[in-house]
Parts: sequence; C-alpha cells; structure tokens
Amino acid sequence: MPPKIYVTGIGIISAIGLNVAENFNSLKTLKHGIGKLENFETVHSQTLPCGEIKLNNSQLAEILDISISPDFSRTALLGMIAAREALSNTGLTGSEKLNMGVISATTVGGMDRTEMLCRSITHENRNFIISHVCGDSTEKIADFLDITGFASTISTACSSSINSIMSGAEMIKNNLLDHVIAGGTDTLSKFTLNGFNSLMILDKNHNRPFDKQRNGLNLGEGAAFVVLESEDAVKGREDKILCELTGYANANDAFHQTASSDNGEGAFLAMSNAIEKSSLTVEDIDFINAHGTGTINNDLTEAIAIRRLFGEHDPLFSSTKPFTGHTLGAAGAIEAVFSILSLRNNMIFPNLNFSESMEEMPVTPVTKLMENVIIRNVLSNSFGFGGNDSSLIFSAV
Amino acid sequence: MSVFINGIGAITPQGCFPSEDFLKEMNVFEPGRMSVVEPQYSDFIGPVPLRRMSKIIKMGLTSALMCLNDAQVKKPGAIITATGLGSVEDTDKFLDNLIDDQESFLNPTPFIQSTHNAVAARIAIETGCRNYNMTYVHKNAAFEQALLDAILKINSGEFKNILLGGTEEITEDNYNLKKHVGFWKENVGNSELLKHNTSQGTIAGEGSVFFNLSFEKTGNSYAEVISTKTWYKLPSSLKEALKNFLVSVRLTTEDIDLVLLGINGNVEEDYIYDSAINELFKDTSIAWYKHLSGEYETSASFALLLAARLLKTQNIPEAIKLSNTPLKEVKNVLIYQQRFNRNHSFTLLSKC
Repeated sequence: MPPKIYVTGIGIISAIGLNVAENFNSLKTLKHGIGKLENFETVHSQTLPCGEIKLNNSQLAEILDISISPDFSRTALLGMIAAREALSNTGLTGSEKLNMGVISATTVGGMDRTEMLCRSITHENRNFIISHVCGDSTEKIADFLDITGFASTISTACSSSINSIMSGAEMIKNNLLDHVIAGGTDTLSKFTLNGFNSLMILDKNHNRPFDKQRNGLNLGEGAAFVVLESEDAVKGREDKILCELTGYANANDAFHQTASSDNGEGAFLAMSNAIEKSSLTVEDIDFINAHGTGTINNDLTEAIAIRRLFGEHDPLFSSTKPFTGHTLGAAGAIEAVFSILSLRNNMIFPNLNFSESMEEMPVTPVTKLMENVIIRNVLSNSFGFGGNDSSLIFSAV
Repeated sequence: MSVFINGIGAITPQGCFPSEDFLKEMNVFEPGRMSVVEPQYSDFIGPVPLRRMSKIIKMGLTSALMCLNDAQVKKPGAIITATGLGSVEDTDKFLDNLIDDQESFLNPTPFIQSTHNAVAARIAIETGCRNYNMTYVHKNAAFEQALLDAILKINSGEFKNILLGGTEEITEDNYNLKKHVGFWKENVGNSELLKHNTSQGTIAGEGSVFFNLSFEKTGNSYAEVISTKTWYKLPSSLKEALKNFLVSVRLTTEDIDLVLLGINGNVEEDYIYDSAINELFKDTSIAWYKHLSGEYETSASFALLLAARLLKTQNIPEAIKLSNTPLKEVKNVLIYQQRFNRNHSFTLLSKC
C-alpha cells in the first residue's frame, strides 16, 4: 500500500468570499462574483467582466494585521490570507520544530506592482523589482507563517496550483516533509487581462462553460491552499482529517502552445493516470470539478476527453468558473477546495449559465445545486497553456 | 535506485557543450552582463518556428535537443524545467506594448510565450513527449527543486529517463532595471570579480543547461547524482546543516574531494561561504563558477555541468580552481550555493 496523504486544512479567498465559510455560502446560494473591475485602472474595466475581490490592498493588509509599502504585491497578500486560514484549521503552527514546507504557485507573481511602477521607479518603491519574481510571494507566505525549512514555487500557467499540490504529495510520499501547505495565488493584472484579450478568448458577458453559446472566459483572482499531511503526522489529530488525496497526475498535450488537441489527449492522460494512481476505476468517480473555462476550445476538448474516458455514461460534472472567473495560477487550488467542500457536504455546486449542449459533443453539466448526493471520490481538472494538464482525486475517509 | 547523468547540452557564456574546447580557456567579458555564446539555432529548429521564438525558448529548446543527442535519447520520458524569471524578453515586450499603446492592438505572441513553462512546453511539442511536464520557479532554488523532482521520479521507476534543465535569459532592460536595487558591479568584468569582493553586487549572466537522467548507466554517463537538498532558511548553523546532509548520504567531510561554491563576489553574500570553508572544508579543494556563468537564478545548472564533466574527465578547469588542488582522483563533489542567506542548496555528485 502506498502511504496515505491526508488533507487537514483548507483556506481560500476569491471573488465569492474571503474565507472558506463565505465561499461555501456563495456556492450554496448561487451567488457569483463576476462584475466590473474596480481595483485598478484599465481601459477594459467597463467591457471585460472579471471575478475581482472587492477589497483594495490596504484592506487586505488589514485582514492580515500587517502594514505594507506600495510595492507589496497583491499576489502575496491573497496567498497569505488563504494559507493562514488553511493552516489555522489543522491545529499546527509553522514552527521550526515541524518538518513543514510551503509549495505555492503563481503565474503573474508581482506583475501587478511592476506594471504600475515600472515607469516611475523611486527609491521608496524600487523593491517591486525584487518582488516581481514568482518565488517572492511564496517567501512572504513562508515568512508570515514562520515556515523556514522548505519553500518552493511552481508555474505552469493555468494548471500551476494543482501541480503544487501534486508536488506537495510527492514530498510527503517520499518522506521529505511531514506537512505541506500547497496551493496557489494570482492577482488580476493589466498584463493578464490584456494578454487573454489579445488572444480573443475573453467573454464580454458572464462566462458559460460547456454551453453551445459559450464565448470565452472571464478572468478572476484569488488564492487557495490545502494542508497535506502524512499518515504519521496526523496521528493523534485524526479529527482534523478532511479527506484523502488518493490520485494525481500531470500529462502534456504536446500539441500547441495555447490550443488543446482535437481528441483532448493531454486531458485524457491526466484524468486516466490520476484514476490509475488512486487504484480506483472510472465507475468510482462520483463527480468531476471540470476545468471548464468557457472557451470554445477548452470545453469541447475536455468534454471529448471525459467522454473518451468515461464512455456514454458521463459522470456528474460542473465548472465553477462562472462563480469565480478563471483564477489562473490559483484555479487548481481554488477548485481543489471546492471539490473538498463537495465531498465533505455531499453537495454539487452547479455549472451556472448553461442552457444548451454543444453540438459537437453534447454533454450536460449539473445545472442546479444538488444536495445529499453521496460523493466518495471527486476528480478535479486544471489545464494550462503549453498543454499542461493535471488532475487530482480527493476521496472521503 | 541510482541516478546517472547520461547526457548534457548547454548554451552558456562560456560557449556550448558538448564541445572539446569547453573551458579550455575562460571567456572574458567586459563589465556589464554576460551573454551566452549562441549556437547556430537553425541547425536545430526550423526557420518558421525559429522566427517567432524569443531567446529563452531558442536557448532552452536547442540545449535540450543537444542534450538528448548527447545521451542518444530520441524522446524523453518526462520533462522538468527550472527558471527563476521565465520569459523576460517576451514579458517585457508585451508589458511595454500595453503601456505604450494604451492596452490596444496587442500582438498575442509575446504573451503566449511569456509563461514560465514555455520552454518545457516547446520541448514537449518538439519531441512528442506527452508525459509529466513540470516547471519550478523558486528563485535560485528552482533548479535544485527540479533536480529533486527528477530524482524522485527516477526512483519511482515511472520513467526510464528524464530531461531536466535550467534556463534563464537576461535582457539589457532587465539588467538596467536591477541596477536600481544594487544587483550589479557595473564596472567589473568577470575575470576581476574576486578582486572586487569587498563591495556590493555581482555580475549578471544567463544560460541554459539540460541533463538527461536515468537509472541506467551508459557508456556516456558523466556522474551519479546522489542527493540534493534545499533549505529556505537554514535551521541552525550552516555547519550543522551541511554535516546532516553528508550524514544523510553516509559521507563525512573527508570524503568530499571538491567543493563547488556559488561565490559571486558580493560582499553581502560571500561571507556565508567563508564559514563553510573555514569550519568544514579547510583542507578540501574549493572551486567556484559564477565568474564563468554570471549570476542568474538557475546558474546551479551550470555548476552541475561543471561537476559532472570533471567527475567524468578528472580534468578540473583552471578557471574554477580557488584553493587546494586535489592530489588524487575526484570521487565526490559537493555543490553549495545560496543567495542572500536564503534558498541554500546542497547537491552531491559522485564518479560513476
């Protein structure tokens, strides 16, 4: 038997809530967080809706009870809030005595400050140059939680934080760490907003994954972390166990830098390898939290890959992107938290805005909140640029 | 399982590797940034994709293909890359355009290529490798964490071989930006770096070094990777951490024949290495490398290249020697680097 990996803590901040309870409540009451941008100036603020957290950086810093300089990245602030919450559930503190690590993920890093300050560098704000790199937000999280031993950062576009959770699991499996805070954080920025806009894959309306009329994604921001622990590490604290991470896999589509292959090969491999690793079968998967961004390309190929793997009897699936927007490097971890909430509460959060199936692959996601569904195993997908495809499986204990 | 380095491909400020002439003589640079000596990319990449690629992707892909060629592997089992900064050129290009053109009429190509996993993705497409594909980006520990992942993946038996690389590019703009935070010694060339080690700053570099790792030893094997470990912050003293690392691989300080250190001439950082030398490795041969590669986030990949090559050839380049030339065969090499007393890493290689 391979060693078990348990989840003992979750933490999240997104456009639908500042913590787990608020996010759960929004999901249950179908309250989405997509709307007009308010926190930074951009020519697109009226035309490109986003999943924005309606607090400015000073207000986020207040939540953390810290004072910040103008060059302090929002990516780090969001990450610190979610990571602190995840750890607070576990009864652990980040102490030198524990063999604990933090593995974060981000795609923009400190870009929110760089794009604002790069043409007006002063002695007072110049530290944005240092905090631009992805690893900097991870170190701010580690310092804030007093984690000294291991700090690592992964960046594989939109699958980044599912991969950091995977990396954390490997560290535990190989006895290199006992406790890992793993997840990701990404802030909205002009850089990513214009990037996705230049690719012409942003929906000017509220995104509608898997729908025939889908017309692109809405960007979002947020952070989420899970605390992973080894079987030995949770001894005596079994009441803290939320679920088990039973399967995980990463594969590559090896097809195109941004588009996925026609038959969704990478997605198919990620899902099937994760199921194989978990020693489960496709019949055991009760629900899929799909990547479902709302783009023409992603949703079709993901549906094709699901159909290839699961046959005509599609499992229950839905995308929560209409709630939060696509939070890029944080998406995998945010949806891992949502998957765990589904599993723990026997609830499926619906795929908002769906009305009509895609012609090429007529699949139907869950469109209404489902309660009292027995969920033993949830599969969560995240796919990214560069054909980077990953899946996680969380199982009830 | 043992992990062997069976192939290397590198594009560095000291030229490309494999090459007979690599480091026969050190390339000397004027003050400023140390750029890589670029190969004929068209020998490796078709003209159409080549036109669209930024330097980091060209370097990364080409050095990866050189490495596979050296290892005589067509398709890697998995791909793991490291980069601290990612695609600087494309990121800056897209950012400049969006500021200058007030967020309109933007060309998406630099944005597409700006993701940190662009090199790993490009290699996957080029080699048709659909397996595990990962990119580590944690500052100067990124490469060692990628190496650790590769070791774990080889040990799991999941993949027969892994293509592992560290890639970084530096642009003139990025170099100039970092002047604001005192990163560089602006008036010092690489051959003079140590003479100026009482002042702040170091010398900028870049490069791309790829390795093919496998549990199978071949006729081309360079060295065996025994272990690597990163510390975000040291738990107690450096001495204790190093000793514990050696205990974990069942060695003592006397077993180490050569220590390769990340000394970079910065007065704010180099004192840390002094304590390692003075307390543990007083009589051991000490070497350094950052005057050859320049300082960059994944320059530990350059150190691994040097260590692997010297274990294979037993030829220690003059340019890296700092003190106590080894009198006997070099069997074990320890690489130790850190930056600003954070992200310390220990990597041990042995002759195979």
